[in-house]
Amino acid sequence: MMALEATWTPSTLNRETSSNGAFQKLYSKHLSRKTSSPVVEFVEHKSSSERIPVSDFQKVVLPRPNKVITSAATVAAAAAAIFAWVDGGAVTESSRSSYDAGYSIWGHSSKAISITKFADGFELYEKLPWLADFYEEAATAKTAKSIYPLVSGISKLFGSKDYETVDRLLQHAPLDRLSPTALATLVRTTYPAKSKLNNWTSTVQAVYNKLDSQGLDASRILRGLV
Amino acid sequence: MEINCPENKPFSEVDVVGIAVTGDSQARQNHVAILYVFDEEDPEPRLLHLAAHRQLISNQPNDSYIWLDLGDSFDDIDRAIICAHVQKVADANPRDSAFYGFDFDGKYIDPETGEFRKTMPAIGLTCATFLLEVFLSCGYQLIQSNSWPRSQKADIKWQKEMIEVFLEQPGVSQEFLERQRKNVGNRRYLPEEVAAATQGDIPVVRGKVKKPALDLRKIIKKRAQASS
Repeated sequence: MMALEATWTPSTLNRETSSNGAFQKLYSKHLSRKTSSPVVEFVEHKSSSERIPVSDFQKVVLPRPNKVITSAATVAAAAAAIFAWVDGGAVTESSRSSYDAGYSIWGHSSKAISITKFADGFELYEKLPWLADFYEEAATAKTAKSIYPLVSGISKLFGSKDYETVDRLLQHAPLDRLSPTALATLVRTTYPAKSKLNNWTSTVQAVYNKLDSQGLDASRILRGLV
Repeated sequence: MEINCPENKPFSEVDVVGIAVTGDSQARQNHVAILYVFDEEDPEPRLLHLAAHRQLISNQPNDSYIWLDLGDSFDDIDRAIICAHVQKVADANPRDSAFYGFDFDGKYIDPETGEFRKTMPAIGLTCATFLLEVFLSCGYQLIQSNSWPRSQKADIKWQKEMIEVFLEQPGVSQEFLERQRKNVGNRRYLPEEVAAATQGDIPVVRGKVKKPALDLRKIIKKRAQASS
């Protein structure tokens, strides 16, 4: 059997990966003949040119807008602090979870992550910087104050008739990491404009399933909506 | 229905959001407000209410009020969402944006933004219908409004009095005044009825709230007489 040939090249998917450009280049190992999907192995720091192997810390966290991460240690600390909620360190590849609240988790070195999806989600978080902050705490959001950023943020988008952005927010919402209160808030707050939001019906169904799978009375929580 | 007085249980102990009611010693002119604590770590109780014509107020409650938590129809998630919505309405509307009058059923608060709709200058609400509108715009219909009677003699008398007190004043347009005069005879939702409506299965019919509303009225009256 012929050994797989590994060549280290700047990823063809190389693009600005954060608004501050801390990580600029992705290095991927193309496994010739077997797959055209690059496997992300290194992230190169823009200023120091330090290459950080993904395997060093299980996951690589790209910074959200306006947050500068300057070293591998900081990245690892951020990963530990912010992404403690990632169950068992596993990173799913579903379209929802790959966005991860304005960050991107680039999975274990054996997994490839869709850069395109990340880029799409990232634009949303660049436009709505409050959204990443909200998602950061959304797993434990139970109080009016904790859900208010979502309520007021969506309200402002509605006020400017930006239904397209609200629809994208629904499309990319990381439902796996929203508390039941945050889940209900997401669909209740957007309900009045559901006829203008292509993703509302699928989102409310996904929220229903999520609540139901947690043993909650989804019909009651979402009464009047489903 | 557990009725709380601030001297026995402070407003800050409201379970996120509730209802506050006050009135005069004859219980002829009662008033209802939404009581809420937006930040549970810094529990400063607030009222959001329509106090008079162009007087949409968010302020701290005084001791003339008694208060209720929302009833069992509302769980923790509902309360958090309603409270956030109340804050949204408070933030979205200036003090002079709400007019006094006897309209209802119009869905006058835009649920998308929490703002009064552009038609609002022609619309007038009471303290009770304002509260109903806030809940309705959040997706919670408290009452079956058509179970309330129209054109009750006592209500017509009261509505005429309120027009005199609040609307036959300088600065109120003739057009608005005329609209509200035509509204005399519309259904009247008493503050204590609306407060009681938050305690049962919603939306409630009037028959279900008459008794608890009467209980509330007695306490309000007794309390007002004691303090006067």
